[in-house]
Amino acid sequence: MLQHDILVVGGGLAGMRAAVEAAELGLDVGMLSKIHPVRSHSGAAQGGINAALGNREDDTTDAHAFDTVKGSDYIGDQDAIELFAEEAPQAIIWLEHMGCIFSRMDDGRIAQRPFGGASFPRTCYCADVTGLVILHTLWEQCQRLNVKVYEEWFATALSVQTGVGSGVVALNVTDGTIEAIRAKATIFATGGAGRSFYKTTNGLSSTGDGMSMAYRAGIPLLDMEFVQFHPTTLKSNGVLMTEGARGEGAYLINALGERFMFKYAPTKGELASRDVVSRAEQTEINEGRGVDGCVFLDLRHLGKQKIMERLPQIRELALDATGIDAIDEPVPITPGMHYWMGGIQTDKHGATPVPGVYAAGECACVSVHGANRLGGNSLLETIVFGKLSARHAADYAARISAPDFNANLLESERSRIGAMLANKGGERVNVVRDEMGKAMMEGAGIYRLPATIQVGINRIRELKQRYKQISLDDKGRVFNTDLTGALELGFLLDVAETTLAGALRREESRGAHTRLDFPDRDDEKWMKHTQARYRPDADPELGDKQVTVTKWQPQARVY
Amino acid sequence: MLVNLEVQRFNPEQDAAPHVESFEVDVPDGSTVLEALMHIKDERDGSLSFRRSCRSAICGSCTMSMNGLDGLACKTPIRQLLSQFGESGVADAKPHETISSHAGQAHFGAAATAAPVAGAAVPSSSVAPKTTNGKSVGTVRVGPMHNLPIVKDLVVDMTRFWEKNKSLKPWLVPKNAPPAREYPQSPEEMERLWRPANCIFCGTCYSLCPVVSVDDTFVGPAAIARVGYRFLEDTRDGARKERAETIVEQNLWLCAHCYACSYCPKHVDPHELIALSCVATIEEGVTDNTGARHAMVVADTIKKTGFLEESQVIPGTLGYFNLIGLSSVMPLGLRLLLKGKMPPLLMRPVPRVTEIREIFKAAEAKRY
Ligand SMILES: Cc1cc2nc3c(=O)[nH]c(=O)nc-3n(C[C@H](O)[C@H](O)[C@H](O)COP(=O)(O)OP(=O)(O)OC[C@H]3O[C@@H](n4cnc5c(N)ncnc54)[C@H](O)[C@@H]3O)c2cc1C
Ligand code: SF4
Ligand code: SF4
Ligand code: FES
Repeated sequence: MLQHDILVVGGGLAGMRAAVEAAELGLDVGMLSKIHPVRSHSGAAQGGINAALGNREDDTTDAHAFDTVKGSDYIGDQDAIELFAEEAPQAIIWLEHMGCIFSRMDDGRIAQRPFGGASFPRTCYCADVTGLVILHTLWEQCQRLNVKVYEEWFATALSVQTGVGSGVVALNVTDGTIEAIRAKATIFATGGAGRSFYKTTNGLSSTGDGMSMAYRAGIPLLDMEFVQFHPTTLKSNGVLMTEGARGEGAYLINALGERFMFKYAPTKGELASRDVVSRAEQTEINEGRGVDGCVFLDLRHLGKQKIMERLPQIRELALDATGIDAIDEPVPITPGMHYWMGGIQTDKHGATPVPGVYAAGECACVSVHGANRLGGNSLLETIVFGKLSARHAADYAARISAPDFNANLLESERSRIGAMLANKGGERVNVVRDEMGKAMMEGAGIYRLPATIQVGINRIRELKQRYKQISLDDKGRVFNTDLTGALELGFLLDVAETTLAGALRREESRGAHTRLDFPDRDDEKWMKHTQARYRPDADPELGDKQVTVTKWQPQARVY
Repeated sequence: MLVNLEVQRFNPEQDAAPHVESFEVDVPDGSTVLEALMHIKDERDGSLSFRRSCRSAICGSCTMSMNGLDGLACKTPIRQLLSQFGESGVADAKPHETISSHAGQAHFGAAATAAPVAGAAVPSSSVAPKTTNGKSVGTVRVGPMHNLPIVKDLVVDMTRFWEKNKSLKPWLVPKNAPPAREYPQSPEEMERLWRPANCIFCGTCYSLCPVVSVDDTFVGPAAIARVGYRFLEDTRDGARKERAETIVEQNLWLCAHCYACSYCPKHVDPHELIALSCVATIEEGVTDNTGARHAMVVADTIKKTGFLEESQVIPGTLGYFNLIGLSSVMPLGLRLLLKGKMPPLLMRPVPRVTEIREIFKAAEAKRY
């Protein structure tokens, strides 16, 4: 059997940061990724990564922590948030020392730009390809350290034996073999689940795999109802226009040419936090001041030079998708599904309630983002908690002897996948997938109502049954992406189900979760996390988990 | 819009050789080639295999050959492709077509595998388009990228590509012990790293490179630009000399400066960075090789007389004391002499040669 001290599932930023740390500590580490690590969706991150370096203004880690707590609408865990903000400057310096390329100030220090919800210019960046340069830096370090990479291996299930995590079952996509990989500690870093929505800024690989694998193995998912809608996405294909654009001074205007944001956020305007801006845009559109379901992102006054220097990628993406050159014309944009605040429940070291299982990055819920993530905090989360989870996993691995692999899991996974390949005459994957995506758009969108959420829940229940009957065109072993697409759909259905269930239960409006029938935040009743537990062939079991408050009591949230 | 896609298929579990299958599909106007392929996979044939992830030209997964031109399927709108190449779907403008269609056959040496190599001419099967109503806007021919073995359909095995990148040590070797804060770097110094930083390892350039197709020892454009040049020019790196030696060992100078790789979807333009890498190796004194000697002697003779002094170039390139090498070109020299074609051994400088020297001076002072 293949085995390692530490097995990292995921080769994006969180996964590679964890793998590099474990390798630096001298452990035997394996890293599994269903796509080549440099293809991971982290590479699409544009705007930047937060840290109170204080290069431009006297910023402090305390201010960073407070902004994050406020951004989270007071449901982030403050002990984790304080640690997160304190670790940030060193995390950036470490990346820089590893060779990461950052935009610079004239004096040679790392440049920082303003971002939504932040009280200082705190976001470090490399023009608008920040995710790419960090991803490449970590890939370089993985190569330097000769990290064993299982490239294009697709994990299908987590092994838990007598309450202890012990690795995963995975499909080698290239040749179709299904193997067990045993490990003392398993770290999930599988990214977000944006593909449960019909339209999203997320790439086609963001399918919630780790969340679902952990959930099915008995680990709770936390706060799944908090789904972030980014204020500036292209209507046709959902592609993102970074918040860095507004950070650099771009305006949001409606059909009348008004900068409408100051009506909704008198101080911060365009740089209020994302939930606030997305709701404002949707209101403008709903009240008839949009054009074709869009408002506009106006960069013109920044001038060609600044656009080409700081935002060249998004200019080209908009040009490719719409034919509009942001240098000369405002770009039509609409709020779009973007980020998963919830995920696998972990403590502030990345440990889940099951010993030997860790999670980091977008698939995890630590929770530092609470009900709404601030721009630039997610890349930071991958770097900080990627490292911390590896440290703690390493300590743990040193203390235990290799656990047993779940005796039945390999066989049951082989037969499950075999049956999926053999099935004939069922529905196509895309039919079920698209219906799920539409149910989520309706049920779990920016504005939510119990009736539509319930419709979504019923639809997902039905789709889960239909999913059992799907059949594939590709019956082969070699590079069967029909099969991986079907497995991903199975994961997404779990994500969709827990999201809608949480959205129905939480009777208040907080952060990105807006219930039209409960328009206010209700700290009395709802200042708590939603915990969803798996029950085979039944709806998820929902419960509460306490929020950790250190020094910031909830206040009204105005920007 | 209705479009006809002719897709190269190959399933190693069933097929002896690749073949072409046609699909007529109805996709929204403005669709990219990737969207059309996804449509086929969803609605028609789930076994059609290709890589994709970001669908926004940043992950580098979806490189393929489209009407003979290699690039990212997610960044290639069908209409644009057809207007470039006409409705027939056959390239009118041939340059990339010629480069890529001959590429990659039987030149893999040790890297060759039993799997067919992308780019081999494939017979078109007689499979009729599955729908025939309506008028199609044209034909898009889609095949795998070149210079790498096919795994299945449009998926190739990129192992060699990654190995070559790794051969150039793609990580920073710090010049100085890490300070408490960031290493300082000026905006101008960072600016030099900007072009290679945009590389997404998509392999389009590698697929287009004619030298890679005939000589697997050539490290290739992406590795030189993204790894070689990027670290040669990083002010924080302390291994410039060693890097210069490595990149020359990996056959930097085999680049034929054909500009094919300038067709990079991310505007990295590897060719230009290759030229600058050549300069960097000379700066580091890694000159004991034919490539550097050739470049230097050509420049020297022009500086001296304003002419490319051909009589100097051969001995200059081979080395004046390389008796074996020189004797091997003797017969050529003799034949030239007999036919009265021997270039003059001594040339008089052109009038105002100083102006030419000024041009050199200006060019040499300019750094990217
Ligand atoms: C367009 C866009 C722009 C963004 N911009 C910013 C920004 O400017 N600042 C910011 O802070 N955040 C930004 N974000 C958010 C941020 O990029 C992500 O949250 C973060 O990169 C997630 O990293 P990750 O390592 O958790 O996951 P990913 O990078 O998504 O990596 C997931 C990895 O898991 C692997 N994997 C998944 N499932 C399996 C499986 N079953 N088996 C094996 N491997 C598997 C994948 O192969 C991949 O390697 C942006 C997000 C998007 C979509
Ligand atoms: S240089 Fe350009 S074409 Fe070559 S791999 Fe990089 S992005 Fe692709
Ligand atoms: S310029 Fe050089 S590296 Fe680029 S394609 Fe031509 S021969 Fe290959
Ligand atoms: S799908 Fe990512 S580059 Fe095309």
